[in-house]
Amino acid sequence: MIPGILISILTFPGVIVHEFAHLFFCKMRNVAVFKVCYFQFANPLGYVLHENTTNFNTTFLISMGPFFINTLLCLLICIPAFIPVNYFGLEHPLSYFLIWLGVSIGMHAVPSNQDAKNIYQQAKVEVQNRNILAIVSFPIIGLIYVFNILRFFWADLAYGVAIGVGVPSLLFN
Amino acid sequence: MEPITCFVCKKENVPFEDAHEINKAHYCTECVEKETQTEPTTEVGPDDTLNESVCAFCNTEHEGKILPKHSVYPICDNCKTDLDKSIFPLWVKLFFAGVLALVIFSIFWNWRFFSAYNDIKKSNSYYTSADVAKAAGYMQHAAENVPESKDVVAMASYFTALKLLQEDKSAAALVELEKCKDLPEESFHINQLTLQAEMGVGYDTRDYNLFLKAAKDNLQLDTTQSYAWASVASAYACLYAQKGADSLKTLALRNLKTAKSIDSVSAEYKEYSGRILYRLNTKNIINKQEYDKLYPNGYTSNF
Repeated sequence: MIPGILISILTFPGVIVHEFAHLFFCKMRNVAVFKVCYFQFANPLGYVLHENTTNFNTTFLISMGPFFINTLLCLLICIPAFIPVNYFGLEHPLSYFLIWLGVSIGMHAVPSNQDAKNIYQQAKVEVQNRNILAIVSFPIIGLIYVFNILRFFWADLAYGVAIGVGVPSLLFN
Repeated sequence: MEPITCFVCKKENVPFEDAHEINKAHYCTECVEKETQTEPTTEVGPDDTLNESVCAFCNTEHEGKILPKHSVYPICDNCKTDLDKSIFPLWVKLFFAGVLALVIFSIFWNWRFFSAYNDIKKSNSYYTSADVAKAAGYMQHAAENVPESKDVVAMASYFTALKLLQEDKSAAALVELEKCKDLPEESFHINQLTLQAEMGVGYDTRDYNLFLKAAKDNLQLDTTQSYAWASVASAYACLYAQKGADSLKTLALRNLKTAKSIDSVSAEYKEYSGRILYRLNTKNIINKQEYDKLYPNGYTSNF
């Protein structure tokens, strides 16, 4: 079994982007940030320390930020590299580097259990106010927890490959 | 990571993942939440005074100056600058600048592949709608963009060859077909097309023996096609017109009869057989345009 830390080292750009995504949405929603760790050789691999907010939309955006940013960046990086390799069969080191970078970033797109927990804490209150996003967030939280269990079976790699390779192959078949 | 002890409530063994570090002091989640959800008091926080003129991060007093706040904590300019630097350090900025530069470079670098991909899609679409000329044009453009792709270059030659065959430019078609002979025969029928081009070259250069040889080889590939039999008849008819030997005329008529037994009703057969019969009856070899001009309603002769 390959240790998780080794996978994290191999895919470190994804961790950096993941934490940056949290930071980005904190800044966007004017949430004060106290500390950011972009990468460390420990669990958690990275974290963002920020003030609490009672605004559910803000909490949702901050927690789900990596999903949006990492997924989008994964696509943006992989698509240009994908066409020459897959469609034209032309292998170039730069293409493979970009695919590694894109998939690494995509692998860390799904929020952590702590992120899901942050959403859940507020969602269960907000749902009483019939907040649509809070209602929608419950299945999302469930999916995040399931996904994080499935990380043991390389679900993160599967997601990265699905976004970085699968989506371009659907777009450019 | 080792468990920590909360700076405020002194709770011990707080798991690292539930801990928060502010201004080099550790806090449990409960204390941080309590602090960040309430108005600042003098009881809790990174600095236990939270005086509005005392920076909560460096504890420096700025007399008479109300400091801006970071969350609920007064913060001096220096600490704000340091905090900003620590939150978004230079190496992270460089990392993102590098990623962004790489993405932009990659898009420009690979743009010719996007372009070629679009051209191929258009080319295939025109080919499906039987517009071979446009299909050849787009595929040729794709091949110019991606010259290192042998398949695309071969497809460009293939479509160009089809276009040239349609235009009765057999010699030029033959050159293009030579470039795409590696394409799979079962899908592209390069041998058959090459023989058709050779027939055309033989006809155009009045090398009717070449025409006959190619027509016979073409017939060997598929004896169920009326056109293949008629091509052999046409070659014999040309040789008859050139040499005048009756045996050649007999062979031409025999092959034409077989072609007729397979297909006697199609417009293509009627047009082709009319030209062959005209050739056999007059020993005059004329091209299609001349024939159409002379016999717009076709030429008929019983045999």
